[in-house]
Amino acid sequence: MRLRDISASEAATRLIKGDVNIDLGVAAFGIQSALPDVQHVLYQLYGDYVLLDNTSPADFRVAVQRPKSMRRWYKPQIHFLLDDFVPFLPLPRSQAYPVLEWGMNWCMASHMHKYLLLHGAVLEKDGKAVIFPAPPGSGKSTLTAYLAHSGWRLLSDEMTVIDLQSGLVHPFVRPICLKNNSIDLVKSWFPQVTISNIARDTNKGDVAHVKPPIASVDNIKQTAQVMAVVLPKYTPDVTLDIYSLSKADAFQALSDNAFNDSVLGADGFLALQRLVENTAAVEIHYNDLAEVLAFLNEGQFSA
Amino acid sequence: MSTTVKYSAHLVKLLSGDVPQSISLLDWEYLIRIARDASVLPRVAYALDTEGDSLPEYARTHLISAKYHAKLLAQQVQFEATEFKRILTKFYHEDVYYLKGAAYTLSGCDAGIGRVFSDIDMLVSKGNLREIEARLSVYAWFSQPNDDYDDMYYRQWAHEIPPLKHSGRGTILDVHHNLVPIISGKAPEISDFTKGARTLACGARVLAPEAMILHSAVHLFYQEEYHHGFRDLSDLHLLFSEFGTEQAFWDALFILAQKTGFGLELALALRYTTTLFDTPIPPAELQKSQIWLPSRPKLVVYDWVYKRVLQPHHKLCHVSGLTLANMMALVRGHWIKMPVHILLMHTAAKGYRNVLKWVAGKGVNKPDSAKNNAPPGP
Repeated sequence: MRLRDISASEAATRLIKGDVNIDLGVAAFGIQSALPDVQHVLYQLYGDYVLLDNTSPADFRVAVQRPKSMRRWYKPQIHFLLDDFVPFLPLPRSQAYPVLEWGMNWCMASHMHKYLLLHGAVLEKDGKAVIFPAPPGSGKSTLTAYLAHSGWRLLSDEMTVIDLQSGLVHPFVRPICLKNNSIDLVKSWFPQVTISNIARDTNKGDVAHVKPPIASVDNIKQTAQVMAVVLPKYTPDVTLDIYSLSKADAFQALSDNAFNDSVLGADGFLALQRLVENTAAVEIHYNDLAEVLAFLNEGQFSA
Repeated sequence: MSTTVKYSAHLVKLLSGDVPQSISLLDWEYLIRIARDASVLPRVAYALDTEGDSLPEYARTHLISAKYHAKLLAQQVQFEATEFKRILTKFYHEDVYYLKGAAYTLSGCDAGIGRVFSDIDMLVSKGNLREIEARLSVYAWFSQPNDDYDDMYYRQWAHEIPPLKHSGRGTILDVHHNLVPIISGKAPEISDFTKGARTLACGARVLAPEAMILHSAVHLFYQEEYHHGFRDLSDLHLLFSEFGTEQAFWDALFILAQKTGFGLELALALRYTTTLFDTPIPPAELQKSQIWLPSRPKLVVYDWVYKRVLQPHHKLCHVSGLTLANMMALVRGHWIKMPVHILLMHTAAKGYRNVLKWVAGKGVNKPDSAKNNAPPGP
């Protein structure tokens, strides 16, 4: 059964009780929230996901709630919980939904060490996956949204999940988090896609989330071989420049963007090493996504 | 069977390496959450076979992850101990002793395997404190920004200075000069505890088994807050089980407890490890410790409180009366540490700040909170 197979009001009732357990492939998230806006956006964005029954365990039981302080009467706040643990200080009430998404990423990054976890998007075409590791401001999420609606399968916008044993990448399909101007851009390119309402003035600026394509959600257990690592860098005055990276630079770039390589220790190092040795790595400077798409579709990487 | 008994008993079983019969995947979820909350998940992971295929994949995933954490922690404490040796031996010619979690882990005893700790505890001589703190600051160990009241509390009344944090690695160091607060009037002659201390292969020093265990017991029953009570009692269970095979150990332990005035804490530690973990304590020793137990009516109250606060506190364990028991343990923890006039002042100061937190929300008045608050993401 998928989330959209139950009504929005039933979903809301079950979210209040924490009785919504969503299968995200590499992890199942049990979610609780009594906040109507969180319920609404979650129902809107996760409708295509499979809802697990109440005999299935969740890997993480998370919640977004109002803290119990007098503050709830003026400038209200919300906080994120993993089980009973509150990992961050509270944030303004308006950011409730983004905080749920970021909190879920935090759960993975701090507790799921069966995998090497990288901060980066990953998309696949014809069985070959490309990782886009990138710090904020590189245009990664805009690029991800563009590719995900141009024939590439979205595996993840935020977190690349690499199997320590096989080296394959596992999907961790989630809504794509757009910031500031890219929200309107994506709306204008793909008027048919569902985008959440905008949470203003977060510590990342204005953010909104894009519903992932149903084909990506349906293939949530379908792993892929990594073909290339592409470091994107949005550069307003460059159409498309491609620089090939040395193995050492590629390693450094991946390591800089790894969430848990230090926790994994030697195993993390070896996983990164294998990834770098078996893939081509380039840095691209671009201002034209159509050019990037054409380049990626050709798939001409030299290892 | 009530759920209380069920999950606590299951967790105790898992800690000794046995997987309870016919537990469902949902039971595994609950046990892992309870264990994580009680800070014993890595300890469970090391007790079980996570390599083979006897455990369900769901459990293996979380246990393997917990092991990675513990391995990293063990590496970090090893690294920091080497670093302290390098930094401190230049000017400090007395011994540095590691305590609690850091000591268990460094010495490689059973209680150190998969032990979770959030800071490194170190014992130095009181006369050198100022200089040690000053020297450590040169190597980027700084006092955490806390308010004037906290600072005064630590420096005048406590047995340690305010925690130091390494500004690069984020490791927290607690530098102690005694084992219990000076203000309690029960602070022991420290040389009684450091007698017989051992030097490990890495050069770090730890207390002799009897002193290590007595300190563990004192620390547990001097606490105000028992969120980690179950983990700490599990430490004691492992320590007693490992060292309690030699009569010489028991003799030394009882002499030390007698001499330093911590007989009650030892008796309570023996009483509750036996009750909750079924620890193999020689009956004669258990018998002998009973002279230190309080009078019957008082003991009934102690039992009521400690049999609750020393359980895992997770809501899934449904420990009845836990809130009241926690409150009573809190009061006792303060009571034994401070004379009444100081206790009243302390309660007033802390109470005022809790009201502030309740009114204004957590994190208020902390200029750097926004920065430390950022969840991972773009």
